[in-house]
Amino acid sequence: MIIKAKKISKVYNQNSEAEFFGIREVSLEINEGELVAIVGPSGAGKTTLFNMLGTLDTPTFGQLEIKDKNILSMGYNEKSKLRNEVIGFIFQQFRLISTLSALDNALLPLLVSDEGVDSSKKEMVAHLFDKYGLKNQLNKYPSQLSGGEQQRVAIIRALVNDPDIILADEPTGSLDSKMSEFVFNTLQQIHKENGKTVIYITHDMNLVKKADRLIKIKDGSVISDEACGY
Amino acid sequence: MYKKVISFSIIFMLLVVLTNPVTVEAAPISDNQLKNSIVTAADYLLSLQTDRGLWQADIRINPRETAYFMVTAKYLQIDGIEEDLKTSAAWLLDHINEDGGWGFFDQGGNSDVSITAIVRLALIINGVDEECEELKRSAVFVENNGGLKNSDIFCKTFYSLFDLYGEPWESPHSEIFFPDLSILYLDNNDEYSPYSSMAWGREAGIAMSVIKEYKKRENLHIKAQELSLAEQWMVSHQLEDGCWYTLLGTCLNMIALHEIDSVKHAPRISKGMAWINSNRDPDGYQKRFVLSVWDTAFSISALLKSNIESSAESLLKAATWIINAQTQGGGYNWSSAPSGGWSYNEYNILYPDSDDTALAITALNDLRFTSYSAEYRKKMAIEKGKEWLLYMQNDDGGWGTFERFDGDKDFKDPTESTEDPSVADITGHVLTALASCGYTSNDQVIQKCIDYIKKDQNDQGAWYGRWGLCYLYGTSCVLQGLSDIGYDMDDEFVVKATDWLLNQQNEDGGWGEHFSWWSEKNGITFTEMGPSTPEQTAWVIMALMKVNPDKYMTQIEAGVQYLLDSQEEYGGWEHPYYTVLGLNPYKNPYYAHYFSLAALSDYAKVKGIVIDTPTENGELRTDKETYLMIDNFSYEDVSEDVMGFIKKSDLNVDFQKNGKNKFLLSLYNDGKEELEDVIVTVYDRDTNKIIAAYDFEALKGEERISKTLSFSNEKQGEKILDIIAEYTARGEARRLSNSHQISLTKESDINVSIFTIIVITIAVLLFICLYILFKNTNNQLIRFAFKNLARNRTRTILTFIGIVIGISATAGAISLGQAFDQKLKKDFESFGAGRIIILPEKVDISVSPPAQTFEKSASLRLDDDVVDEIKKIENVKSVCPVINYETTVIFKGESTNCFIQFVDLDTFRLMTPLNIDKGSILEKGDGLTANVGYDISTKAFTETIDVGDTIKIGDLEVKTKGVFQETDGLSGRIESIVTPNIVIYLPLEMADKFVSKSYYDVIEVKVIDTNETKATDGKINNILEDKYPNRIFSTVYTEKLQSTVSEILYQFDLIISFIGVFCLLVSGIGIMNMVLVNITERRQEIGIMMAVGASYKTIMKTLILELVFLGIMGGVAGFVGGLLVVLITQSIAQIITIPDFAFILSLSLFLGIAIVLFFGVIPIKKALKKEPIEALR
Repeated sequence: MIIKAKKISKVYNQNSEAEFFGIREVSLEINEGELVAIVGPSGAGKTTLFNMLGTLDTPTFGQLEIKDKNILSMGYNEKSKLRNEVIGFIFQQFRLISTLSALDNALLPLLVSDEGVDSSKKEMVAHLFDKYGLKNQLNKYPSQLSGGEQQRVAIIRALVNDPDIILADEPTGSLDSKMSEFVFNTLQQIHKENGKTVIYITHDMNLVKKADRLIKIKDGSVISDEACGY
Repeated sequence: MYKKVISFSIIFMLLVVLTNPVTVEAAPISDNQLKNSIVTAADYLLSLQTDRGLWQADIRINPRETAYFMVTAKYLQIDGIEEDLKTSAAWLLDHINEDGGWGFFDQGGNSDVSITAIVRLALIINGVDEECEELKRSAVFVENNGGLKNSDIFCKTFYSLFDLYGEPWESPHSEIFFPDLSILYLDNNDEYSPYSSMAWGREAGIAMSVIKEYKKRENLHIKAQELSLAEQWMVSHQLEDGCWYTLLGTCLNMIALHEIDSVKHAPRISKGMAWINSNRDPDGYQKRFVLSVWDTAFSISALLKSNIESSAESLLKAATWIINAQTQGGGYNWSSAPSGGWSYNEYNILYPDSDDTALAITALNDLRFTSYSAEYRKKMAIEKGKEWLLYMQNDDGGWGTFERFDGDKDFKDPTESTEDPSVADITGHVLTALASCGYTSNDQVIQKCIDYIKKDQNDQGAWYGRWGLCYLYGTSCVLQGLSDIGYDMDDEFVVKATDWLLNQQNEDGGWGEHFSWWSEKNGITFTEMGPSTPEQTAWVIMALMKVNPDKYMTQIEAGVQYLLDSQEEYGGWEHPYYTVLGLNPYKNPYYAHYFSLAALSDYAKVKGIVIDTPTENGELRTDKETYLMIDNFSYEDVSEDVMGFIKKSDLNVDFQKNGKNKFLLSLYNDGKEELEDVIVTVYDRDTNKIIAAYDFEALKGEERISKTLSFSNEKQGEKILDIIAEYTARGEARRLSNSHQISLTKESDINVSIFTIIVITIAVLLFICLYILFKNTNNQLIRFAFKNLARNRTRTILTFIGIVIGISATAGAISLGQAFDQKLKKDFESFGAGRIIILPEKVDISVSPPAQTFEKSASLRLDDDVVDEIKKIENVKSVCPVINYETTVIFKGESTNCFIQFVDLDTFRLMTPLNIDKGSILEKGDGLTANVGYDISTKAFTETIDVGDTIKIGDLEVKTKGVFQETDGLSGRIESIVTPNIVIYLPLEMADKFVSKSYYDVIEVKVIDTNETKATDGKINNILEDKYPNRIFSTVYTEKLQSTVSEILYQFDLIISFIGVFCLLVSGIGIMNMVLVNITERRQEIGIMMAVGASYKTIMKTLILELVFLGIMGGVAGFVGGLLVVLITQSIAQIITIPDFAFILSLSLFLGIAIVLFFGVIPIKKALKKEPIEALR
């Protein structure tokens, strides 16, 4: 069990009139190697849950363990280290740093880690660029790349530290259908080839179908959590 | 001749009759008789001294000069001397010889045709009746002796002036006495230049040629150019006293100038006439010359030998006079000769001669001044004289009179009057002189000279003496010289000479040598032994005493007995004989006195008889040294070659190291008695410069004075110091000399304020922190930071400008404050660091309110006692008392009130911070002269006062000696509250003429170590409080004033710094704003970094790196900006100091980094506190 969430809640504007729950007492257990899709209407708490699972935000109540480590008792730097080593993020808006080249963006997790970048890593990344059809885009800046290309750079960034978990928040949300398919195929390929746990939020029913497990969320609570076998 | 022999015989017989019983069996000479004789002789000689301190015998040669005078005066038609001419005519008529002529012996004797002829001319043209008996007789004499054509060339020339003789130029030696004037074109060293002829010939020769040209005008064509050269020659060769070398030269030159232009040269002619008139005796006899140096030198030597106490004062005057009579040039004849010979009188500056120089050196070496400065001056005079003498040695090893010859001249005979070869008498005198300077017979110069002496000895063993009579003179001079120089007096040729002398002794115990025949034509003389004379006896016995007193005692005592017997009651000696040979024979009446005195004194010494005249304090003086005291030389003359005569001292001088490049000089009087006039001088041996000089009027019994000598910022290395202490103990001058080797270490010149050090240290520490922080950061991160900076260029640049302005303002303000401080310090330094001023009043200069003190009764009187007390304080270098005065000053009719300061010239030069612009600074002995401030010179009056101008101060005329440079407004004398630009400085000793004050208005003190000024000021205060309790006084010193002004300046600094800090704050807020905007803008980016797992530290580093980069850039630019601020402000304020670059740079960098960190880190920290998702949102 790689992620274990027990009754986690996120309260915004706590103790005020505008107090509301982003998610309410969500309990989840995700195993290694699962391909999990999270779906739900807008404002249902998908992203909040995503942030909690990715340690980008801290649950107000409840218990969260990632790789058997209690997140709530972790400090800032511990969580940073955890993110750096265990989790790879893919965002809907790609979230590349505009002043860095495609290669540097892909290397960013290494750059900020204690290990740093060495030539073998660079080679490995260059190989990935080849693999994902970005052969000559290494030194281009994000603004010079198409959306699909940017998202593939983001995917490489997420993979670069060889994380256990890939978290993707609507990875294809900003892409056209053709590109969406290509990107998702890539994701699927990573899951299959490397056996990584991949959790993704999506509205695209085509993508939902491809998941091993589907978690539906509404009004901050998990309304269904079932395996799907289309 | 017949008559002379008879008269000699009579005198001789009389002498024999008178002295025979005494001399045959000489009774032992009694001590008392000898003492008595010496004392009376010395007293008589002293009575002959003139008021100016010299001796000058009345020399009688022959009537020729009297005739020259009368002829010249008549020819030049000189008015107002009719009576003198009559007197001289009467004297001439009175002194005709029985043979009908006039001659060499003024009391009878041989007549001479030339002399007779010229006397006749003088008498006839001055209106003496030709039919009178004397003129009739003399006409016969001239006719019998070959007539006018047998007379000398000068005689003929004078006759020709009155058209009484035709062609005087056709005579022997006419090429010498009528030289072709074209020789004046020649170089002085040329074989045919005027200088190639004898000194006594050339001064007459040019004039003679001019006279000849004028007399032969119709036949000869004299070139205007040559005439003008001759005119220049004659004008320039007139001596200060108006004469041209001798009386004859004077007459001829006056006549020649008269011929050229009687109106133009009237002043010179009348000056020459005045000299002639002043050298004529009341009876009408005209002197040829005076031999004051000669007579004075012999008199000094004789009196020194006599050791008579009463002579000290006279010797002091005489020695001083003789030092001052030294000539300053090498003589016109020897342009390459060193300066410093003596001539026979003080006015004859053209022709120093070896004989007078030798005598002056001998006389001066025999005496010793108690004043070291005077002694030094004396030694210098001797040294120069010695150099001149050495130069004058001829190639044959001997010495001539006026000339040096280099071997190419072939001298036939010293008796030839137109030549000047080596002569034995002078050579003997020179040997004595060189012996007194420390030469011995081993010196090469002396060996060469002895070779000459040996060669010059005649077959009989005697030497010919040219300037005395003659073989007795020459032989005595040589023997004395040889003995003085340390030659072996048992040498064969010496014994031969001695034997010759002994053989010439008369029965009466004396010696005598006389003219037997005189040839005018050759100037040659033949002598024969005859009746004894005192001087000749004296010469011989002095020589014998030098050769071997024991061996020849019988003969010496016989001579001494002769001298004692022939002494007159009044103490002197008299005789009728001519004993001197110049160019003509003559008599010097003082010879008998001083030579006899010298011989008797030598004898007393040989016999060990002490002339025990008591000294003032009752002690008997047994040593020969005569101490003299003269004070008219300045102390600065003293140098280390005035050494010797160190006696056991009461003064201890101790010298020790006392810190880095600091030494303590202690003077300790270990006796009970007071030491007076203690002068301690410290010289640097290499440069011979005075490093320090102290001068105390008195050092009490067991008193100790310590002085610090510091050598800050001197060159590194070894130094030898000579410490010379001079003082007077029990009325006796003493001297101590010590040498110390010291080693100096170099002190660093870098003068960094603590503030600068702190700023540099902080800046360095900051950099070290940054280094540690970023040590492990990979360079991608750094690149990343730079890229971020470049992202929004406009904003980065604006922020950068903000930083630059802030830093420039702050760094500029702070270093400007520093510059003002430095400028102030410099100003005070130019005012004179380490100057303490003592005022007899209460002056409060501090900013803080004065402390309450009880009232003191009266002002402290600043007098010499106070000055002396202060002088003894350890760190005190010099003390300068000052009197203030204000009065009306008039310059070229304008008058204005001026401030005057009378300053002590001993120390003024040391004390004053002023620099001389024109002229020179006042010195001791200048008399009433002034140094004026710049404004006095340029602004006080319409016309500028220049060096040499006379201004009227009060009622007195004062000459301006120097003008000071303008000094800055700040550099004023505090006590006068005026700038020195408007002060007139006068010597303190002149204050009496203006004000009557027995005390000073101000005492200025200069300290040695300026770092110790405060401590020294404290000591001065303590000592003065102790010595003069309840007296009002105050001390002011530069550093005290400076600190007061600094206090005021500090507040100004503070204001400027505030402005700088405000600028810094403004730019800081700008930075903060930039960082805030930046972070807000980059929130997403930060979020991404957080998301990918960047630690807090990593993100922080990235952001701070950007700021640090900005800070360093801003710092460097701020440094340039700050520097500009400083320079612009300085140029506006007209202050020039070099900014402290290191300080401004480090301050700028420090400020740059500090503000970016301080104002940048706050917003960054705030941003990073958030959850990553907040950043990402």
